[in-house]
Amino acid sequence: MPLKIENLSHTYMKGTPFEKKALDNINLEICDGEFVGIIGHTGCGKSTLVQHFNGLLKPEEGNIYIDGLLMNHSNIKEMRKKVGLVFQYPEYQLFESTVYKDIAFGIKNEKLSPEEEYNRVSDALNKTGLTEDILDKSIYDLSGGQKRRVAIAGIIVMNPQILVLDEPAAGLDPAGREEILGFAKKLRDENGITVILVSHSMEDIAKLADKVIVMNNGKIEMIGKPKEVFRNGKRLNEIGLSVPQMSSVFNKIGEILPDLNINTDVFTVEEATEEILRLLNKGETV
Amino acid sequence: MKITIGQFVPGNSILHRADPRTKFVLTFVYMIAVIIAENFVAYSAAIIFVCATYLCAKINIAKIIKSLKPLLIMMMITVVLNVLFYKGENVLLDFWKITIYKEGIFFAVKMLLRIVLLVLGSSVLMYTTTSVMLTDGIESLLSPLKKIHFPAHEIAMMMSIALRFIPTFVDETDRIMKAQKARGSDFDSKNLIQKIKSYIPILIPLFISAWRKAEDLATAMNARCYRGGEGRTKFKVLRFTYIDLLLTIITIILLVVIVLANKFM
Repeated sequence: MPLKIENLSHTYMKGTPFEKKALDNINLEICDGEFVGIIGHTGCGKSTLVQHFNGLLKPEEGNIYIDGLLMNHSNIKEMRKKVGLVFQYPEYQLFESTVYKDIAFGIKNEKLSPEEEYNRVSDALNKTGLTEDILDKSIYDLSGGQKRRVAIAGIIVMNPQILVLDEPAAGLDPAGREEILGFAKKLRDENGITVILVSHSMEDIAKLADKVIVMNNGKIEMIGKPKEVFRNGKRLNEIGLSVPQMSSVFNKIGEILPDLNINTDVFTVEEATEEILRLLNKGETV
Repeated sequence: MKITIGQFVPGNSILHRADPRTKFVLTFVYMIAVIIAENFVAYSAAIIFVCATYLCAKINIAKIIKSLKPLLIMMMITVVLNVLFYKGENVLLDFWKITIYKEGIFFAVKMLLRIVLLVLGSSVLMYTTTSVMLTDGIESLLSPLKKIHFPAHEIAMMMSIALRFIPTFVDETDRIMKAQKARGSDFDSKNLIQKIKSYIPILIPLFISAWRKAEDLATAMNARCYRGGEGRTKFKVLRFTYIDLLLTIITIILLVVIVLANKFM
């Protein structure tokens, strides 16, 4: 289900001294089953942009098309089901007494039979890597990482075609991080859901995304494959971002030892390992 | 700019610079003056006084009057009830079971003026005083009660914390509301019971978050060795200056004018 945005602009507190242009003429298209990463410094309009994707903010100027349909007042609730949006720190929005009830909150209006409802809930829970034994537990007996996954399951249960994750790994330990990002990738690979990931971690974006959108002061600065974007390390630094650490390491080595002919198009640990092994093997053969 | 009732408007007028204690007491005096005012001469004095304060504080009174909209229903009810049920002598209209008297209309207008004047006058205090100054003033005014173990400092501290966290909770509510909307919550429902029910998913997370914030704040205050008001010095020391003397004199003149108007007009 493609998502298309045309000339989208948004201004906060319009007509007051606090007026701030959060989005300025955004145009972009996201195709089916893509894994899109959005990066940008704090306050560059990432969150404002993703809130437009499911109509939580209404476009002041410009149009949003989902599946070729223009989003408007009458179909906004439909759209909201198609595009699931997980906010930052989603665990704070849990409110029901048990995990099951909280996940099922989003499908209450669908009037499903108890079995169907149970299946949907346990399916969503499994997708986030949790098991059914926690369904009857209280929200407040869970660990931080578990709470977050339950909150995400509360969105997935509505079967969105596009899933937007706003910094899903913020504040989690490395293991929790891996798990959350791993299941986001699995959702895309196995269920064909389009995933849009907002993140401050260049490493995660480099590892996961097919396409990267770089935002700066409410505008789209760059858009392209991770390789294309991360080659512009200088510009990224200027707008308060960086390249993945691996990439910096290889660029530095390339500068110090230009004769090595090192490939600086390296962004992830896997690529780095491969490149180092290649160079070592070359050394051996020489 | 949309100004809502009770929001501080930055400025540097003499009203902004005056001691909050003076403003508190004078607001109280002004309210008494408005309540005892009986005839239209007295009311005009109060109207002139309010307009003058707004001019002096450089706050656009037209915009403030617009922000009185939420009070409109209350004012309408007051007017309608007074017009319908006031018993006077000069019948203006006799119609079915309803009799409207001339005095009733006068009285309704007076009540309306009184509400508007009270709200406008007392909000000058809020418009020209920061919440910190406000609570400092309250603490200072209540401090004589400390002799009888009245927790003046604690109450002032609680007030300033409450005021400080209003915007935080407004943001938080907005955030939670959006998050629940993203999960299919419907806040636009016309059905009243549905509408009330739909707010539970907001209230519970908000309450939990307030609880957590309170704990964090308590820890932070402890970490900075906060131990109550005993022997605590102030960054901004309140002083009674010539500005306060001037304001006091003007307000007393208003009170005198109103008392005289009541007597002789």
